[in-house]
Amino acid sequence: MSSYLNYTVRRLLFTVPILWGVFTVTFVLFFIVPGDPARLLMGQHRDAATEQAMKVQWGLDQPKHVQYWNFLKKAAVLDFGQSFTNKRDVRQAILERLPATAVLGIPSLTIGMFLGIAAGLWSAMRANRAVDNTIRFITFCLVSVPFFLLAILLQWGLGQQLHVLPIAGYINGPWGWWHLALPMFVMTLGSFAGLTRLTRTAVLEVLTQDYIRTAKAKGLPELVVVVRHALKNAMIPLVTSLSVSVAATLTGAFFVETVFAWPGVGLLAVDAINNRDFPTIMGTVMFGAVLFVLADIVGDLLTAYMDPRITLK
Amino acid sequence: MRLYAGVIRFFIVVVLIHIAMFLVVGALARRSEGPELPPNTLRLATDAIQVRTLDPVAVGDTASSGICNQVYEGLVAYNQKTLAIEPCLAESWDISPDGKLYTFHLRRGVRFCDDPCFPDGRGREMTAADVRFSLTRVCDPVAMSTGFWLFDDRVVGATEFNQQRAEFLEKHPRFWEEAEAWLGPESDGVPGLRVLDEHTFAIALKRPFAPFLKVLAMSYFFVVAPEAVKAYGAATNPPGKDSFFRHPVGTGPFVLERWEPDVEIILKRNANYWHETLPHVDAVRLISRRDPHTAFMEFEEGNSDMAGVPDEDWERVMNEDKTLKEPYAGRYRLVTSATLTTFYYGFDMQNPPFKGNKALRQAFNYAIDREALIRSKIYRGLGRAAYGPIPPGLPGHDPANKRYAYNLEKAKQLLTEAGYPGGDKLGEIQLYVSGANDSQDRTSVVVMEELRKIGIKVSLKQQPWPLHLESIDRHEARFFRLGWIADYPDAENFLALFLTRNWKPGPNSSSYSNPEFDELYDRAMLEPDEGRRAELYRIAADIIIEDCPWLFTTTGEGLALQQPWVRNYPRNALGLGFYKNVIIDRALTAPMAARDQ
Repeated sequence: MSSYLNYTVRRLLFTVPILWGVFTVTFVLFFIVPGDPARLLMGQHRDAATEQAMKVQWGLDQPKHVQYWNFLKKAAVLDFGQSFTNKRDVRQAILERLPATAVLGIPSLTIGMFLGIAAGLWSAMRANRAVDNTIRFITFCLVSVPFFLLAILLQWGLGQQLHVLPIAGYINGPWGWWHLALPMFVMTLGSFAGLTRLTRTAVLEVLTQDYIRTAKAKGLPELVVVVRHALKNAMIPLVTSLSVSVAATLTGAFFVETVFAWPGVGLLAVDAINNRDFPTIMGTVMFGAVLFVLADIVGDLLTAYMDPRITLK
Repeated sequence: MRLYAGVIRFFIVVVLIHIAMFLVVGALARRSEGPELPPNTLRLATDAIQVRTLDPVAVGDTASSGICNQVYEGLVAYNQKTLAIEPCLAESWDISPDGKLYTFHLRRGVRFCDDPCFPDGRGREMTAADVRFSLTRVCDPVAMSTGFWLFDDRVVGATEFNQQRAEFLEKHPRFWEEAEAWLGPESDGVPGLRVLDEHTFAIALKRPFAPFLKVLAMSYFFVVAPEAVKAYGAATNPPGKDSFFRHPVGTGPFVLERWEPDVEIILKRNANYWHETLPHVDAVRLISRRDPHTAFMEFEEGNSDMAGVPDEDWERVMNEDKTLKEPYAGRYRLVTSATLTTFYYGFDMQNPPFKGNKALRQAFNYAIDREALIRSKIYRGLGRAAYGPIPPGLPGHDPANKRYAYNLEKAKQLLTEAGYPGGDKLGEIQLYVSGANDSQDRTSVVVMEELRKIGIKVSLKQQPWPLHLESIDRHEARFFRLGWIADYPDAENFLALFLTRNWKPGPNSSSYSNPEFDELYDRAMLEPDEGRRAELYRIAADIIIEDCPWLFTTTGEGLALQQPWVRNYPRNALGLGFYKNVIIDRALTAPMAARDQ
């Protein structure tokens, strides 16, 4: 157990230089990509004094290295300052939107994961038969169709034609949870399709191994062979990919958020980029980076737990 | 069997974890709806509530000014349909015979809305000092005003005051910590803004400026409560402190009840509003639907009282002649209006090949079939061909002047006169565009094709908006796409784009200069008679049409559908909403809902 703790502490320490690197790259990119945020706010009527006042308050009048240091000092304590465009505190804005992102992202991911693994297993067990072909065809369609198209189709069918679900909008009131249904369904289908295909491939590969043949030869029922022996081993590549998709789901739901008017972090990030709103860009990028890094650590720990061949150093 | 039991147990645990998470997140999450709103509520699902600020002087986008227009008011206001000037906080006004002094007689008994920033929480009466305070802020870079250009060099002492404050800023980099950054209602920094008595306010201009009242109705000049600016802090607030940006305290028909970014904005009737019968509705609820198609679906469901028609729904809903198809025609009301917007391709008048080559610029203008463009799928008949700088609906626009009607022969002939027969020696011209909007991009492709017909080779250079503006500023872009949305409904706002003194960083994007035009403009500003001024505008516009520093393209038109129960909500050429006048006629709601089911 202590090796896990040791490993976790060391990995957490190691995240510091990673996050610092992300910060630096974002900072440099922001200043390399031209486009002055003050100019953008002023539009075609310019007024030098006001532009200067904006820059002073945003700290953009300082030399670049001073700006870098000032932003870094604050970012270290998760203070990203105020948005250039609407003066809201960036940390507060992210925290406000976090529940919306989480309540949509986490269930979509876990439900998609369980269904995906189950379908993948089934598909692998019936490889190249009708069931397998059907599942492969459906998941192939799902991964090929863009998210937003699926979203619009469902919105039209279930919302506008059948009136069973609300078209869009955020949770409101005790019955407002239905608003979650369509966006969650779309997101779930996304993670489901990818994971089904991944599981199928991983399980099929394991099924050709000698120890599976041994297990079958012992006379174990097929389901036991597959779940206890094959899936356990097939989980290793799955867990690695899962840790990436956790972060991707939580940060990359932009299209779903736009179509279903879901006030998540994705919309915040895209608006910030369009407005050259540096504090918000930095805040959302760092938020995504922290998620990625944490998911990666959890993924590695799980892999080590499942695969005795891997030792944590 | 043990295996199955294990799997089932596992799933039960997963389900329980989900339920627990929903409960926790549900408790943490902001709820999108506050208290139940009364039936007499105007509901709008819109893709345009990315409101940035509700501090009138800092407003620079239509979403923000749209909300400011409901919670604040100015001395004068636009008519909701014609945009003519009407009394508002000022009941009446006098203009001195020399046109330089405007004296406003304020309405008595106007109170600010109730707010904790007032000593007893109750809104006090608005006075002339509040007007001075609010208008002084417009000239103050410390307040991060984006409206100073309207008073610059016009109001007596405004420019000097702005300079003085800019110097203050330079000396105090952390200005929000300085007591001096705060300008109280007693400050008389701008000599041209004068409190004559509690209910009389005057503005002194350096020289007559005929459209001045139309300028004063803009949102920059709305009257705010000094107590609120002090209590909530505007630009002067230290980082992290709640801001006046989000906490409007005005005299308007509505008060801001709730503002959840990307969720909704709720406005409630202002109990202190000075007009006895307005607003007609008790509340306004704007819900955010970022995708226009989703917004339109909400409208069809009856959840929204007004909607635009998005591209993807156009053919289902609209006929080619811009009327509604059945069954929509029987369900909804269609409201349209020309908008004071003009799109153009600017020529850099200070650099070759366009500098000093009028024939070349005219050749470009003859080569574009604008009428075909408007009829095309890009515009679907929405909008009009532009043959000059002033859009229709403004005095000075001359509908008869279609000088640059499509004429390829003439274009080729002028190209030869310009010294580029067949376009050969001209080489490839880069057209700078910004991917702001799909229909604009497609227009640029059409323009490119049209110009190729007379032998001019054009390539597109696509850039993000801020870079696009910078390329024009630096004279790197010699041929570039831009548009102009009227700030206020007067032709002067369009003609000012050609003034020599508005060269960059001003809005004269083409760097056009013509002393004869400048002189005509100045004469028009001195002309108090509307009719004679319109004639001067027309002559000035003729000079621009002759010189064509722009390739004139199209002017805008807006269109919206309304539910049958919505009354008195006309569209106007600035696209401004006057929610206080809207009537929700519940008698018309019932048959509508029944038919929907």
